[in-house]
Amino acid sequence: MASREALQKRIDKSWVSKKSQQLFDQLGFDEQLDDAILLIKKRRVLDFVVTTGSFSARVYGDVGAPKVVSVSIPVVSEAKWKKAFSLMAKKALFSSAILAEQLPKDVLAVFSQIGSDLIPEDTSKIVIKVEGKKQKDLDDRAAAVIYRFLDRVVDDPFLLFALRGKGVEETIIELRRHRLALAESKREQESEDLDEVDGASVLIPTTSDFWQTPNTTELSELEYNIKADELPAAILKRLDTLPLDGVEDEVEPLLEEAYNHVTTRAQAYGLGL
Amino acid sequence: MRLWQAVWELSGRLIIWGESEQTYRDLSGKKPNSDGKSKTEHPFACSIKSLVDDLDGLEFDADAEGYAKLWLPTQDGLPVASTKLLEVCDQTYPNDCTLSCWKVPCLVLDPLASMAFLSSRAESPPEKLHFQDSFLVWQESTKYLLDLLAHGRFIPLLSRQGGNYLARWQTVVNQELDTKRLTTLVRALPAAAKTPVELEIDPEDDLGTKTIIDDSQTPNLLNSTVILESFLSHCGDALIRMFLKSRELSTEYMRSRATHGAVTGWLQALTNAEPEIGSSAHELLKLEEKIKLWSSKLLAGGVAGRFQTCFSVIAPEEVPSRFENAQWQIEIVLQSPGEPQTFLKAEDFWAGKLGFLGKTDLNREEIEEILLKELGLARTAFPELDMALEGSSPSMIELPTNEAWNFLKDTSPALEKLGFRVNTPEWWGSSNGQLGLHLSVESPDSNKGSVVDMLGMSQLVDFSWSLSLGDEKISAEEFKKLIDQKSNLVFIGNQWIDIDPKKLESTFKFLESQEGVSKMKLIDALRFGFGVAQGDDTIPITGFSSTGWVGNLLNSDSSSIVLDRKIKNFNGDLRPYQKHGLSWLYFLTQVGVGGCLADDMGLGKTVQFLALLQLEREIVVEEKEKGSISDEFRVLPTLLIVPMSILENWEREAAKFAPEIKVYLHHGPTRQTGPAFSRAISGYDLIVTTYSLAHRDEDALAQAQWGRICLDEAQNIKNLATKQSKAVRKLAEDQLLQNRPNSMPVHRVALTGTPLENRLDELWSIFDFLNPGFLGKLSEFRSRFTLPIERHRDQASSEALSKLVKPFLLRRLKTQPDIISDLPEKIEMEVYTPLTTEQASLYQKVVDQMIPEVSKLDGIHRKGLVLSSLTRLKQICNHPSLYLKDGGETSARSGKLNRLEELLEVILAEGDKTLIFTQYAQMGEILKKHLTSRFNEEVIFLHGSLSKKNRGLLIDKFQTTEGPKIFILSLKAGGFGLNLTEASQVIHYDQWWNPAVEDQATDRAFRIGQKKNVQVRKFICKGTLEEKISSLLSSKKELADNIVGTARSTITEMSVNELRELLQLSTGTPEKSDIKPGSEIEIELR
Repeated sequence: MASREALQKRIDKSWVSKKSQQLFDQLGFDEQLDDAILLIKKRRVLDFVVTTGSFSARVYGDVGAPKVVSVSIPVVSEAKWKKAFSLMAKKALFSSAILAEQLPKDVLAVFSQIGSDLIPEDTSKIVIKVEGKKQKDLDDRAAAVIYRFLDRVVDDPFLLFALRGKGVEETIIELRRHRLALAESKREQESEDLDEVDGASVLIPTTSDFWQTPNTTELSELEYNIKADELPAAILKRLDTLPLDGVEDEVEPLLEEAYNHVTTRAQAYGLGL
Repeated sequence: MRLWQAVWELSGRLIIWGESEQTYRDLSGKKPNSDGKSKTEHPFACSIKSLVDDLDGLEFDADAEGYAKLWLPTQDGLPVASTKLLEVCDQTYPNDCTLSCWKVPCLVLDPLASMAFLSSRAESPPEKLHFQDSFLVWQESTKYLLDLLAHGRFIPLLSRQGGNYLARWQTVVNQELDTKRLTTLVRALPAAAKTPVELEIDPEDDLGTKTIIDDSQTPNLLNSTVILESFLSHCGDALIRMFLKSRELSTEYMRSRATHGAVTGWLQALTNAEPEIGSSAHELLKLEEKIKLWSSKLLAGGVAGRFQTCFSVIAPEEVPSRFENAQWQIEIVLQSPGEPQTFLKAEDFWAGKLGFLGKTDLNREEIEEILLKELGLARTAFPELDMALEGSSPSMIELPTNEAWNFLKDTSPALEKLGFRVNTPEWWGSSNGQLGLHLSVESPDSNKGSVVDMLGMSQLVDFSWSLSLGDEKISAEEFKKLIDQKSNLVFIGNQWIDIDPKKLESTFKFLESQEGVSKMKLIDALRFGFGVAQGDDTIPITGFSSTGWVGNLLNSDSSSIVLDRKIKNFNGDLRPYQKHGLSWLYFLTQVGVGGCLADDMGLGKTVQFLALLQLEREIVVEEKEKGSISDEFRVLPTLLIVPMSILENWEREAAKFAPEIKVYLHHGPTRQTGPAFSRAISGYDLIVTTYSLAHRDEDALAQAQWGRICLDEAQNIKNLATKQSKAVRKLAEDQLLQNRPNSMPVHRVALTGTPLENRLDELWSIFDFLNPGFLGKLSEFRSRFTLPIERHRDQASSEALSKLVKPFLLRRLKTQPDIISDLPEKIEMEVYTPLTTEQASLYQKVVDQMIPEVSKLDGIHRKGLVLSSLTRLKQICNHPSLYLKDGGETSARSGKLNRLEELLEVILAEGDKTLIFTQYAQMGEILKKHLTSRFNEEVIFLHGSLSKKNRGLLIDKFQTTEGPKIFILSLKAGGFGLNLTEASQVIHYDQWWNPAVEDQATDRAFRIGQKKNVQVRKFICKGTLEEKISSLLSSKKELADNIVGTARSTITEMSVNELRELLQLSTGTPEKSDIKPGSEIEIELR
């Protein structure tokens, strides 16, 4: 089936994809995958929203009014999040990856260590409700909403964090805090003199320096050459082709022309024209 | 006085506020808040009205007005005045200030208004207005931004803000100079410009998001870099949008396709006034990822590139007996982008040091997060990095030898592609540290100045192979040990080197196969030595040495070949570089190796070749007299193959420079073929024929024994498939196979002025003629050189090819300092061209009609007829179309035009510009049309009908470096008063018969400002009145002052017989195939 193949391709992309499909199958929707995708393609899944502890959407069937499908997953407790961040802060991997907008697979182990699971292993914790339907009569609409969520998770794994209680910004801040605390305790433990540590911190001058440029001479020696470059789009040549879904060849000359125009106009602007 | 400050607010607004000297003076001695203002209102700040009035005085409007909360130095409940204000009021700055939050009236400018204000109005404030230091920084930052934009240092990006996707232009600071300037600007920002700002303005005027500051706690000042980057980012984006207003970056087709929604939406939003993109969020998310990855190469490296994350490969200090067990370290380093020698090891950073980063405005936490984020990006290309990231302080990864090799080979370029720097060991990728084969060839010395009987490229030479690492030889035992290691990185000669174990094995087998073999053909030795005969399965040949004449041949500096002797019967002095060319040609003759003299046009290839013929002749005579060669020894004749258009030029040049050389022109319908040809050429030294006859008279030419075959304008054989190219090649090959007991093997020479390095297949084709097989098969040559050089601009292949052909190719450019100083500033040449059949037919017809008529007329009628006939004949010489006014096809109808095309092909390839003078405006039009289409180049034409303004425009256009390369001028309109020093080539397409007029025209190019040597060519149709009058001019110098009048009166007064003698075609039979394939010769000329 073409749609399964498509999903398979995406699964190959990352561990998140694999886990997503496992979850989809564990929830018993494997037979309804094609129908779920069809509903999405027909734009019958509307108002999809992810909030802490749940996600929902309105889904149209073949007839009648749309039904609200909501899926609830228990939020990870604050205490457990704290433990999770504390564990994550001990490995630079998490801060590195999350700052670079990646979610490393090791995060599953962290949640396991704190006695929780980022992606519920136990599907009984997941409560799916379809407006006007009983739990045992879940239909394609539920499959469509679950698929929509998992599909989004593949692109943005941090939706899992958001669902379980912490947004990505908050995660970064917490990790920073825990790393600082860790470093602090390490420093105290080692009781070393770190003379240069504060070398870069910002001091607030309240003397006459407050008003004055510290390097007037250096500033006055700056020289500029506001002249349109002979190779205005050279910077584009240094990069790979701009990824534009197959229309690169059409856009490239227009973009080069735009660079040419901007460089010429910048020169004229610099001359006060 | 009012003293203004400017603060950049991070949401993208310039806040202007000021201090009032008057109010400050008025407050002196009063208690705080005695003026009735609230305790947080700045007591001596300029009022909004004052600010607006002052701005109005500068003819500028603010986008909004309101109040801003700022943190300022404070003492005793009052804000401390700025240094400048205290100075104006003769006060000193107090000690023990604190920072407090003060509310000041302010004006607000959006990014575009800020740019406009800072780039113009802020330059010269009126007398009572003083701009504080913060203004200076913003003014400089404006110039900096315009400099970045003018140099194209910006890229389009897609980002997310809240739930919205935004299309943005981002300035890029990735050049060393830009980084230094930015650092200066960052350092220059005074604390007064770094205060957090909270704005209170009329909601209707609100230009952006609101920053709320907590005034109960003293804040940190904002980071200078963050402020500068916000300024550059907002103002850069706004300016680019303004510049690109109403421009489309997407096509109509794309906009009509729903599948390109995200891309189109993004591209449209890049030129819209607002950055929001209205496409589907799901598609935009994917596009955002792609664009992020695309731009990461430029934007990686942290905030404005304060440091660059690098990976340094450290080779193991201790080398185990099995190299595969060695442990390599990949060290993480924070490096200064502009100064690679300035760095901080991650290990030291985690230990608390800041090194050079301590001098930047980044604090430890900021550096740490940038570094961690960078490592997160790097792990996508370097998964082993996760090992280091397992700890809290990643600083280094240890890898075994084979994994280290993988890192160097694959991971390192992938990291560099992402914008990371990788410091590899010096030996990596260096040919100095390469293990290679060395080929030594031994040959006897050449006996300078005498004829040596050599077999050329087929000669067997002694050779031997050895192994080396750089300059060090490797013993067979050491080599065997390396093979046993089966490692990609091996330690030998106190260093690590990169080696393919399979290649080592193949090389070992190859060397085994060579045991006991001591001789090989020179051509094979050369092909091995230059690496063209070697397959990819063995280690490379990195060394090639030779002794004796092979050593001389391969000497990288052919100037060592010096022949210090005079040529007795040669008219003319050779310039030093021409003597060198002659010595080189003679050396190649001696050793029987073909060579290509590829000097720039005008450097005298013809003269050097004629000197060679004369020299060879004289040396043989001397050697025979000395008895060093037998009396039987013969110098066989030289066959010279040339384009039809220069056939007769050769005859003239030979007669002029080497009159002893007997020249036989083999062309025309009466030429000898079959056995008669051999008889006809007997006793001649130089037989000149054309490329088309080389094919058509293939059999006749093959019967003779040639001492040398020379191709002039050798690019004529570039197309391998043509019959003439095949015929020339076959002729040379057959001659090589001939057994010649009393003469040398056929020597092959090619003369061409076209830059060969740009036309590689042509180079192959010429070399296949010169030294067959030396460059291998064409298919091999294409994959080894043509594709890498022409398509990928591969420098290494280009250098390898250059090295390969260097011994057989001598090319001097007229721009070389040693050549330019050796050349006269102006070189004048007469270029003789033949008539085509059509021209000859028309010419003869005019003469035949005129002569009988003339005899019947007298007086003014006779004179009129003669003069009008002269004009007609000159027109025919130029082009039949000029005479017939038929407006028809112009190709291949005129000998002059044919030659002009050939010359221009070379001139354009050499990058020179040309002036072409003609006395006929109509001829100028014909040339313009024809040359434009022939060369696909802009050709401009200056003639009498153009207005003064348009003439000026044409001249200005031509005088720019990138302007048109061909400029046609009518002699009357363009012959005087113009400065056209961009041209270094002047062609007089027809003659005025007044040297003074022609010189004046030539002087358009040859005048002050001319930096090159000027070459002047005068086109003369061979066998016509043009040639005869030209001879007349040369022999009768007294007529030179005004030959037109004299010649005209002389000609009109000539008798019928004299006229017939002057005008009748004398020589120059046109050749059928050089005119139009398949056409018949219509008339027989005497």
